[in-house]
Amino acid sequence: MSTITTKTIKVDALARVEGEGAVTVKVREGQVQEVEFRIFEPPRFFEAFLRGRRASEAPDITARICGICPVAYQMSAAHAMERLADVVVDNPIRALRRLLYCGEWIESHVLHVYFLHAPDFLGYADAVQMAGDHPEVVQRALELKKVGNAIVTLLGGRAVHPVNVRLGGFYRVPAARAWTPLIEQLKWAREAALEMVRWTAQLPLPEFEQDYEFVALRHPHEYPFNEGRLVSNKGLDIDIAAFEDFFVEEHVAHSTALQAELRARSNYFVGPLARYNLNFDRLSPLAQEAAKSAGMDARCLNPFKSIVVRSIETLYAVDEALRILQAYEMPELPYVPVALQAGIGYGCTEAPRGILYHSYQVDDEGVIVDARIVPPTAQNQKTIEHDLRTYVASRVNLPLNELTWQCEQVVRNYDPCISCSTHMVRLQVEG
Amino acid sequence: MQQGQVPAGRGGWVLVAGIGSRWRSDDAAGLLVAEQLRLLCPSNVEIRQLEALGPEMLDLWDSDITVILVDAVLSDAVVGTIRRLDLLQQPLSYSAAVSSHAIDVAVMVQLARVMDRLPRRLLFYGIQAGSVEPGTALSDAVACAISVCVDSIIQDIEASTIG
Repeated sequence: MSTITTKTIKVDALARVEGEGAVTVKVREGQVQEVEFRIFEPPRFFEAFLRGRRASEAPDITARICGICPVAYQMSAAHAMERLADVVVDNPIRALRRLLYCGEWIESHVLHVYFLHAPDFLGYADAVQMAGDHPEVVQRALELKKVGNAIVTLLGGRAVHPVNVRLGGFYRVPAARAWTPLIEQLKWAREAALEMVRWTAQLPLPEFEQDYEFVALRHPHEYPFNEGRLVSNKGLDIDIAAFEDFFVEEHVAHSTALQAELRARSNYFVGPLARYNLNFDRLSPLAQEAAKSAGMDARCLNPFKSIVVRSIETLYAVDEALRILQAYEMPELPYVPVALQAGIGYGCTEAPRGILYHSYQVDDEGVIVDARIVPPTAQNQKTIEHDLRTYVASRVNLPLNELTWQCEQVVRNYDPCISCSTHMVRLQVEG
Repeated sequence: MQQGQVPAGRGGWVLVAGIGSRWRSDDAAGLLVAEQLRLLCPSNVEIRQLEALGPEMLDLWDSDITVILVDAVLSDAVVGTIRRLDLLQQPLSYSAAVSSHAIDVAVMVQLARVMDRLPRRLLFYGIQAGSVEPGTALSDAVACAISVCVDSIIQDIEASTIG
């Protein structure tokens, strides 16, 4: 005898995600009827109040969009303005930018893996409960996050909303000797990150694979942070300036964040899993070896395994930071002069959660006329809803509280940063 | 000594952390208390103004020192009410951490407790907020409470220094 299932899965406030979001999934007679990943965080209108500001202020203003990924905003903004000015920032400043991004990835990924995501797979309500049984694991996480903080503090000026980033580079850069203590910390962190990969790989992760369209930057030589073309595993290969020709945003009633999709296609997936699938060959040999030892192929279609991929990326970031510092060359000047001209500049860099696209229209006095910012979490919304629909469809007969908990985990796979995604809503006032 | 480095083994050292946001009305209370204390306190007191608590806060704690946290709170109390809690004696109830950007005081304290990283003394001052809407205006009652809170914290600091 079959069971006809009708139920509503409702999470009014998602736990262990950044910002305010909720999930509703309605099942009627065993069929998923409605799925909503609801973002109700108030819009913050950054794109609006960037208008009228000087282009040089964009890195500092946009950094305030997010406390956990400010470097991503600064980099996307700086690159957009430098592209408009036809300026290329080369080594050693370029290497320092990668170093700063390494710090941010370490901070963000470690925080998500240990404090937000891992408790799910061990049956804990939160990291505090997990720390009660596994204090050494949480202690390692705190120490590892501290190394990421140290990079951002030393190079960015402070751990939250760095103040040392400017168009063309930095306001000042540390002397070589200032990095010496951090190099020793990074050597410890490399071992800790290796253990992080091993530890996450042995977590009991659900089997769930989908045919995603992954989108990420791809660079000719390196695992991407700041530069590359936009590519997908389904044939996309474009310059970042063509982003708005291929990607479209729309406002849906149940979200204060615009949702994105590929024109003439559908939802797509950005973030660590996308980068990993599209750039595995660009990981350092150590990171590739750690991935293989952890049982990971170059291809991974299971979003629950994003916790392992974030760990691999943390290892890569530590490895890359060490490589940069061991070859550190202090630049003669901390920045390259950037002389702006009227026009539109485009920047797209890999925030911890995925591609972060900026475009700015600037006038001949260097003032921003218009701005567009597309954060990764906004881009992942439709894929999150698609995952919820598919995941629930094959599990409708689970007890409601168990299925509800698993739906929250589906969302946490994406490490959503909801505050970032709600910076702008396009309002149309009628009458 | 560098900023933020409270030396180990100094029982008289005090860390005061004022927590809040300057841009959310009464939520600035903790920051303003810290600001006033910075002008009044001796050198054995480290004053921090934090917009958010993160796990790295635990690095500032030492088992020999006194930690005093100050923050705006929301409850059914009258606006401006000050609650002083000894968190070693009265743990705050907490819900699961809800953000990658910030951890609330209760979660931070519980994390320290389970990891055996509590300081020698841990006090919490909560000032009942009226409004935490975007803005910079303070409720009159909260403005008064800030001064009262500062005086009370100075007494706690003096008591910590003595014993």
